[in-house]
Amino acid sequence: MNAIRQLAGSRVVDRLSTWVSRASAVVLILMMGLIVLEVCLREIAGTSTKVAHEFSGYMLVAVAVWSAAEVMAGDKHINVTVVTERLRPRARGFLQRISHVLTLLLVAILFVASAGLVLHSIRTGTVTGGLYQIPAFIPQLAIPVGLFFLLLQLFVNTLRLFWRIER
Amino acid sequence: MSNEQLLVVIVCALFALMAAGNWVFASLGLAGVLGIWIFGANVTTAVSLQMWSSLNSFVMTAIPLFIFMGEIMLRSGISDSLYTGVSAWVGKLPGGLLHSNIASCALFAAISGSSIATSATVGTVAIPDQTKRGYDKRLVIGSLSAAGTLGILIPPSLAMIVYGSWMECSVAQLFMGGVVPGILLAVLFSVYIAIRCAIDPHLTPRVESTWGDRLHSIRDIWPGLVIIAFIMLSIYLGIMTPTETAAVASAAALLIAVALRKMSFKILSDCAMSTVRTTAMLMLIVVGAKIFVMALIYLKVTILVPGLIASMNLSPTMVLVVIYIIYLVLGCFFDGMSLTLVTLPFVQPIILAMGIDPIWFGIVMVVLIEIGLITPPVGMNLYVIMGISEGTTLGEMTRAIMPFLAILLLGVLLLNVFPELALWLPSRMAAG
Repeated sequence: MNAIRQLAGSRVVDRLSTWVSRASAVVLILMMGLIVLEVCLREIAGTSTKVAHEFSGYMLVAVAVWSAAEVMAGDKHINVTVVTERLRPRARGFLQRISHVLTLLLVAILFVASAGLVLHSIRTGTVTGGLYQIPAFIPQLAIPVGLFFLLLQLFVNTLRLFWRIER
Repeated sequence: MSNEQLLVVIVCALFALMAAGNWVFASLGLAGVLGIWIFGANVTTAVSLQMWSSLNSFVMTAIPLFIFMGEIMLRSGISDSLYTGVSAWVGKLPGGLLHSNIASCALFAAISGSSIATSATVGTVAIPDQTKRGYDKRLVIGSLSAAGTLGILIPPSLAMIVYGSWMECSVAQLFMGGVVPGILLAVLFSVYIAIRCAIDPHLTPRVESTWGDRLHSIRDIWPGLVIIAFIMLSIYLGIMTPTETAAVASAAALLIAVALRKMSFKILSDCAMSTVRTTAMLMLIVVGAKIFVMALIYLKVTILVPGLIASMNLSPTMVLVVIYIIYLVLGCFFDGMSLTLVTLPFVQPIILAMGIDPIWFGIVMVVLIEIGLITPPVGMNLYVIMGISEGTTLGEMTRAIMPFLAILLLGVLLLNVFPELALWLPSRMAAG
């Protein structure tokens, strides 16, 4: 229990979330480069990468999910506060805890579901529908990886909320 | 439990979760998972496929790329220069620099896809400058809040990318559909300011600018104008898809910023990090909404909702009026993207069943969302401007925004009376 309390009190998980987010920023720039390359090849050389549309979709998956943990660390995900900001701090705190626990449950379900999809693709040998027919689990893996860090960050945030640990 | 009862349960669960302050993505996802679970379907299978299909989308790839381009323009200072440059051209009109607020917001809207970014960028430069010059505060904050909403109407627009992807209609046509209404609203805002200031000239001091100042200002405006012209032309002429346009425009903005010595590794890193954060916020809501829709599909909402509307014997006009009222009411409480994603699952079957043009409805919906952005108590643009304009109360903001709110409502009316305003330009495009 002490180790978990220490983890919640430290900034280790927050730093991990930032690093995963940095990785997604690199993917963003690669994604831009890939599409620019595709346009240049088409307009100038009359040819194509043949993978830009397919791969940029996979890259979007990584960009979208890998930063979710850092957004959670900064408590920047969008919510509607018009009701809660009119409540007393005690009631607001209670609702905040319930929200964290329910979201933890949802993200756990999403993580299990996405990991299940990856395992299913490995078991059945599913390949993507594009030109190179790469194993589908490779791009799909981006989702459980991102959700794992989101789950970890949310878990730590929830502990901080229950144990009233200031960040 | 019948499908109708189940629908009521999950809709109530959704609104209860949101009212409790839960994150929008989680509220949508939890209500969706609840619906799928009560229906008896396999939750993990349904959820995993929805996640994968909603995230792996070439059309949606335009979202981070347009955000990235806006970030580069913003952080490199190119968008700030737009305001300075535009001021030299419009400062002499009755209303003076207030027209710069409208014109700069309209121009920045053509770079950014977000209303909040538009208001924040122009407001940060304009409010201190115009306060110092003695401009009427109410007109300054009102014009900035209202003109900032053009960010989601004038292309590129993040809301239109999400709408187009959801309704499976052309994002390029939606972009072009927003051009004429966007310009029309900007002109109406400016006409109101000019009339108001012509009646009461004390509201705004005149700004003197010579032709020398104007020619000099081109140096400030050209980078922004080049990017805007590139985006509009490449989409209108069908040279590139909106996603390709976004990628090339981002690269062009980056090259211009480097050439102007306004880019460093630190700025680039900040742009990329801010972009991925915003993308994660938006895309998680999309995932939540797709899971929610999965539950609605199990409950046969695509049949239930049009059936319900048909049983009410309402005329198509009345149905539209009811939809508008729902958007205006919900717009007071939701931000634009959440409102789009929460309502589309219900609105889509109605629009398709009634045979309404999805491009036209998309434009009207965006104007309705714009109204929500400046409607208290949750109008995001109001808070952005309040944050910049120190000491402004919500009451002052509300009074300042009223005339502009009326102009936006007039815009909705005009779009209904003259649908060509939204449909003419898409019909002239080289490629859909």
